[in-house]
Formats: sequence, C-alpha cells, structure tokens
Amino acid sequence: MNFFACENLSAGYGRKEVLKNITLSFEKERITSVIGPNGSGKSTLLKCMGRLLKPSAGCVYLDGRSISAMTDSAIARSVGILPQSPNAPGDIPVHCLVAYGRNPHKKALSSFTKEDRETVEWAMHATGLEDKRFMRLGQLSGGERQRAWIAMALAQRPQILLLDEPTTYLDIHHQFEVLELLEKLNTSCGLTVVMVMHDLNLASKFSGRLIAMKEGQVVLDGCAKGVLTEENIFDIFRVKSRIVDMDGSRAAMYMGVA
Amino acid sequence: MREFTDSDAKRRLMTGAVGLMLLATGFIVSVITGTVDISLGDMARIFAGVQTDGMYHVLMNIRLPRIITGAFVGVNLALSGAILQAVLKNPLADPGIVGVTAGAGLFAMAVMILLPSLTHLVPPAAFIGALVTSLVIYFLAYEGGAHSLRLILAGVALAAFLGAFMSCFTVLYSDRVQGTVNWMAGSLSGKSWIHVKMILPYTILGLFGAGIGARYLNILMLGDDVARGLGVSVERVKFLLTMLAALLAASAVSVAGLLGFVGLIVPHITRLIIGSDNRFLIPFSAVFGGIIVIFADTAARVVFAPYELPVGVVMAFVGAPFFLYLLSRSSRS
Repeated sequence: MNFFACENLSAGYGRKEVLKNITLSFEKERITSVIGPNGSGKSTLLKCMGRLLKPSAGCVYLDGRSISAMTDSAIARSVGILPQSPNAPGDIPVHCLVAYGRNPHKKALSSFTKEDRETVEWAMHATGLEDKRFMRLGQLSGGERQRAWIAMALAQRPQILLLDEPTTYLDIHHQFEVLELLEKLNTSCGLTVVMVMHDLNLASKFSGRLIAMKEGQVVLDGCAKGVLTEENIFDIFRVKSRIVDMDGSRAAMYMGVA
Repeated sequence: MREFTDSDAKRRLMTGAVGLMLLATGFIVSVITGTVDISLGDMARIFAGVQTDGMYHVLMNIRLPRIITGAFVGVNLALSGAILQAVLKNPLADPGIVGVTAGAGLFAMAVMILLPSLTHLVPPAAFIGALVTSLVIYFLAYEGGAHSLRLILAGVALAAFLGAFMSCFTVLYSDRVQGTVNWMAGSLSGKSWIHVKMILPYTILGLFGAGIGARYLNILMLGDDVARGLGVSVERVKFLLTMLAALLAASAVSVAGLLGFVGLIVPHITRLIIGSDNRFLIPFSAVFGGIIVIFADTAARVVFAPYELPVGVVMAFVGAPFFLYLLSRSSRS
C-alpha cells in the first residue's frame, strides 16, 4: 500500500531549481535508499518529504492527505526525519535526547506520562542504549551517537523514518551497526525507512529499493540488482566499475574515472 | 525510572542551596551596609514593624526598593540572555545582539539631551526604543526564516548605525553629555518603589514564559531541522522567545540603564556549573542574575563611598575576571 508519496515535486534554493517535477510513492515497511552524485537533489528530496523545505511546486501526501495542510506536530507523529550529522550540546544525557522525541505527542504544559516513559524505554532498548542512558552525548562513540539520534526519532513513534546519510563520518563497523539496526527495526517493527546513501554497496545490501537521482530528476528506480549495473554506475557517476555477485548480494568494484 | 543520575541531581541541589544562601546573604549585606550602617537588630525591628525612625525611612524607602529593583533587573537580563543564547545557538548572544542596548540607548539619550526637562520619560522611551529596534532587526534578518547568523549580523549593523547617532549627540551636545553618563553605564542609584512596580510585571511574565519555553529551547538547541522534525513550529517559537527576551531586557534597561554583561555572563556561569539543560539553566540563571546585581550594586555603593560607581562598572570589574577564571577552569577539566 502506498501511504507516503510525492507528486510533481519541485524545489530549490533561491532561483536555483534543484528538484524537477518528482513523483514517487513509497510502500509501507520497506527500506529505500536514494543514491546519486553530489548536488543531484537527494537531500533536497528528503527535506521536502520531511517538510524541512517547502517545495516550490507539487505536494507530499501522507495517507492520502497533503502534509502542507497538517500541523507540524501531526506530521511529526507520523514522519521522523534526521538531517545529516545533527548537532547537540555534548552534555545532554542519552535518555534526555531520546525523551525529546516525545515532543510531538505533548502540549505546551503537559507532563511526561507513563506512556511517554515506556516509549522512551522501548526506543533505548530497540537501539541497544539502555546501558548508556546516563552517558552524555559527547561521551559516546560516533556509532552510539547516531543510534541515540535514531532512538530519539523512534520515540516519536513514526511510521516512516527519513535519514540523510545516516552513516557519514562512521567507520565501517559503525556503519554496519547503524544499518543493521535499521534493518532490525524494519523487520521487527515494520518501520518504513527512506535514506540518502553515498555508499552504493551498503545501499544495495540493506535496501529493497534503490532510487537513483541525477540533476534533480529520478533516473532509475528499482531493486538493487536492476539499478546497480556497470552501465548505470557509469551513466550516473561517470565511474567505471565491475559488478560482483556473491552470496546473494551485489557489490560494485570501482575501476576509476578515466 | 530515575530521570537523572544522582550526581546531576546532587549538583543541582547544591547549586540551588548555595544560590538561595547567596541571595539571602546578598540581601542582608546590601540592606545593612551603606552611607548609614544599619545593625542587624535594627533591621529585624524595622521588618517586624516596631521601629519607625529615620532608619526605617532609609531602609524601607531607599535601600529596599533599590535592592529589589536591582534583583529584578538582574533576573530579567539573565533570563533574556539565557533565552537568546539558546534561540540563536550562539554563546556570545546577549540582549545587545537583538538591538536592545542600542535602541534603548539612543532613545534614552535623545530624551535626556533634547528634552532635559522631561527625564521622567526616559524609561518609557528606552523601553520603546529597545522593542522597536529588536523588531526591526528581526524583520531585517528574516528571509524564509530567522537564521541566527543573519540575526546577529543585522543586530551588529543596526547597533553601529544607531551608535553613530549617539556619537553625534555626544559631539553636538557635549555640554549635556555629563548627565547621561550614569545611565549609559547602568545605575540603580535613586531607584524607588515606582521602579519595582515598573519592572515586576515583566519579571513575572518572563519567569512564566521562559519556564514554559525551556522545553522548546532545549529542542531548538538540536538545530532547526531536528526541531522541525520533532514537530516544533520553529519560526513561531523562535519569534515568540526572541520577543520575550527583548521585552525582558527592555524592561531592565528602561529602569537601570545600559547594564551590560549580566545577560552575557550569568547564563554562561550557570551553564558551566549545572550544564546546558534549559529546564534548569533558566531558573538558575534567574537566581544568579539577581544575586550578581545585588552584590555588584552593594559594592558600587560602598567601595568608594561617599562616591557611588555605576553598578555596570563594578560588574565588569569583578564579573569579567571571574568569568575568565571559570572559563579556564572548565577548559582544563
């Protein structure tokens, strides 16, 4: 079922148009990666879908309703979004950061209820951070910090989670840690994930659907095997590569730009 | 579920206890010292209502309103600074950044120099100048959203612009500048119950507003995008909080003149002690703001008696080195 969609979406910064007339729909309970070269509009697309950026034309629909007609907190109860490398004061304890995720469920003066507490507990459990609850953000490793941000977004109880390059600045171990966590959340809680990824191999390993963008338009959209081919990689990134299929997953070996 | 570690809670409890003790000490010291020394016994008898001589007049109509005005001025400036530092995500933000100082300064100076017979209009003029300037800066900086850097730059530019007018006044009316010096440096000299009544509503409004706003300030500190993702109407919340900060600072400077420093330093000192969680930073800053102004004003009255220094001067003398000390200590640990 398509519960999240964008229709004829265009957007830009100032006069520069970065997204050109994009129509996409997303099924429930899938992981989708958006790939493409720098400046192709991946992040802009994600920002529009998460209403961080107002599109110049077109609409984003959630369960058939246009999100421009919804309140900020109503959207936040269904859509979680994490920008690329978010920043916070280093002295915030993990459980406080996660508790901020309850904000869209609260009115200005309402207090923290038992349900809020249980949800925060659940989010910390799901991300494996129970033991780190009193640790401060600045004391965590890069991977743990990213997990803490994901826990915060989970505490919103969203149906769909939008992530802009969730693995940037992480070493390969922490990259896997974060992506395996998303995979686990996807299978165990039915969380729908749409993320912008730079690493094509990780994107193809962890997502059922790849969307490739170039110059503000969607150029390819399909399963990893269909999108990740030597011709496509050359067309999109101008890089020569060899495709390796092993143990059911597909990876590209890059040969260079010459 | 315990919400905080014991050490966090203990630290806040200790800081709170020390704060309240300092507040009480500052209050008593400030009441009994001055040109006329009042003994503790006299003080108790006056407060109990059994002594009504000249001392009574000095205490009840001169010192007490001055102390209370000073405390509220400190509370308002500290709250204003704490709010702005969180909204603008900039540790250098203070009420001057949103134009409060420049606006209040120019309007007050204009009244003092051009209409010297109407000095009772200085507080409302300063108040209006501060608010108008902060609104102008906000709208100059607004472009699809109030970005903190644009806001800061617009504030600096407008402050320079208004400063030029002030310089013109000082040059063209050099004979009348003397009368503005005290006000420009910030002074609590001659404050009476009228001033308490002038500032009190804003202190109450500020405490309530900042109390409710603390949760939003915490979320704003995560960045605009994250805050919006968490369902905060970022632009509306930012505008309301910035205007609350401007209102608080305007009410303070309209009463006490251009008392700088409190709004910048107090939230900083508080943050170094109890951390950046605004739910605690806001109330603690308010208390420390009151304490610092009470102590500084007492020193201003006493140190060079019978001459009185503007309280702003004392604050800069003592506050700046203390702040540098805290800063070097926290960077080492």
